[in-house]
Amino acid sequence: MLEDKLLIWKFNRGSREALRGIYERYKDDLVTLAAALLTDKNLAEDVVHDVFVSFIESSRKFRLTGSLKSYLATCVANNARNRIKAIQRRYSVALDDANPAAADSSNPEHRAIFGENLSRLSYALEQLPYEQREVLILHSYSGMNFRKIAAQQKVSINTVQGRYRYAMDKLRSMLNGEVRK
Amino acid sequence: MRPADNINQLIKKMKLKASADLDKRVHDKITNAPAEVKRKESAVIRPNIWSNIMKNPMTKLATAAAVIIAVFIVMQQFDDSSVAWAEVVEQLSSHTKYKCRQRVVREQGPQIPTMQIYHFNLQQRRQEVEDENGTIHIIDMRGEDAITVELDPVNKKATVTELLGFGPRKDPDIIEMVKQFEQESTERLGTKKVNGKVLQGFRHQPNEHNDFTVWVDPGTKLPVEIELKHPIRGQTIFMDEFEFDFELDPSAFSTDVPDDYEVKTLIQDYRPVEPKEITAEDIRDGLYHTAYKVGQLPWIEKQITIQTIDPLGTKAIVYLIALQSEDENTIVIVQGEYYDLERMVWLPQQQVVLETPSGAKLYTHPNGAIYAQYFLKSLAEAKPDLLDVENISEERFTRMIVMPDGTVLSISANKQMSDERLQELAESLIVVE
Repeated sequence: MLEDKLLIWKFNRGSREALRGIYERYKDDLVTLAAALLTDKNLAEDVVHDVFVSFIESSRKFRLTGSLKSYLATCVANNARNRIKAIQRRYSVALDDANPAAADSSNPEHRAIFGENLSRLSYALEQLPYEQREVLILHSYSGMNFRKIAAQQKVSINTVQGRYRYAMDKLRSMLNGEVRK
Repeated sequence: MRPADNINQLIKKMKLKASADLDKRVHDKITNAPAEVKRKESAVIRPNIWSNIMKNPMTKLATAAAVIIAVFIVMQQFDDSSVAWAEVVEQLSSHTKYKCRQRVVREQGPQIPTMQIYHFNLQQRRQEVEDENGTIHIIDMRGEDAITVELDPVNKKATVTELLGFGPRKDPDIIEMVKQFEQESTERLGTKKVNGKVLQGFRHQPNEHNDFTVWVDPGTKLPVEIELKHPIRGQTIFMDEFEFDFELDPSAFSTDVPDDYEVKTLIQDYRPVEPKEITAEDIRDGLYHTAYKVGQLPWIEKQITIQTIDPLGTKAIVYLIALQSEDENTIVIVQGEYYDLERMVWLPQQQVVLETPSGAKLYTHPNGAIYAQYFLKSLAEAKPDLLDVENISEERFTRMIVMPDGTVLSISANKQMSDERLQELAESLIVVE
């Protein structure tokens, strides 16, 4: 946390090294988060690229109020959601049907983006409606609390908790004992 | 454990690495960032500072006092001969070639001899080794096939190594790295005296892998000493005796061997190859160090040997001996040109888990499961009938074997193996004659 604040302090003074430090520190986590949301690694890298480009442009006016990790995760989630919406507009179908997961579920490479050992989880995540997947990933992977997710999705905390519960139930039934270890 | 906990645990296991392409795209953006930042600095920040200062008379006085003190401190610290880092970079950029002495100190493993290095450009260099024979290395990476020539002037012997498909590429040059340091992230270290000359120090630590200290002559504004610490590798490179724009005939960088030398030619093939089945003798012919094959073991049902490109991305060719055991385990034994202790300096720091009666030592690998995944996947892609990629197990592991003659091999298995079997396997390795 203190290291993040120091990086931000330097970043706001135009330090390229600080920017590099921030990117190196969080890039893998952010690519993983974006890939989990979009179930497509190439698309995920585009999202992380765009988030960093915007971040670079925010130099000198950036003010960190919470954790940097959480801020960047929120940016990734917003960017990923915008891409999903763009796909939705392109195909003029409902959000949940338009997520790349539905289109990509036939592609075994996408199912295996997190490695073969997590292929069942990847496949199950793809089957979730986007909004449920976003809540689940932001909460379980990024450690974001429901209140923050609710603020970000502009819905009530009850709706977020409901989405999380539905997502968990669906995953549990899809994995059907596969996660028992 | 509740199913929800299990799902959360699985989700936390998700791990992807940003690709080199993304790294490049973002780093390029970062590299281009300062100009924009500077514009913003002059347009927005400076007026804000001054307007704030001038609002309050007390602030005015305090600021004036602070400015006087700051100027006094700066004058005390840096006399007329003081050099700004930007001036060093500017001077370095005006020179295209340089010579230096390079010493490498390693905490463990084989040492690298001290040498005088003449960097003609980023693709050609000459290294004069300070050993008893005065060995000379000429390196030329301009063409598709890089060439290295090792000349032994005492015994009139030359070794020419052709690295097919390795070039063209640039030298990872330390002066080029130093030129990239930014003024603001380069720390001043004060001064020190060397041979009666006062040098000014700078330190730059771009990450946990590299820690640079550069001592500069304030007169020439050029480095006199550079120290590069690699803390994680336990290695420090010292460079001194610099000479910029040295005078040396271009023929000193020629890879043509003098007529009176006995020449040995080695070929290292870095060109992409499709995986193919080979024999143990092919491994022997492909390696410049000892090659091994696996002897008969009652629990091995199937054995094949294949040649493929190193899945770890080194561009080198590796040789895999794939074994299938009666208990449906798949085991891959890897051999390659770079499998030696000189390059794998990290290996002696690993834990020895087994020592066989004949003296082979089995070590852990720091990322054994990932390493095993790469090689098992490589095998599965080359020979899907032997291993289905879907069946790569979470039990997979790797052991590095150091044979009594110093040759290094690795064993990766898809499932756990008993120590008895590991020992039998290591003991069954036979030199390919």
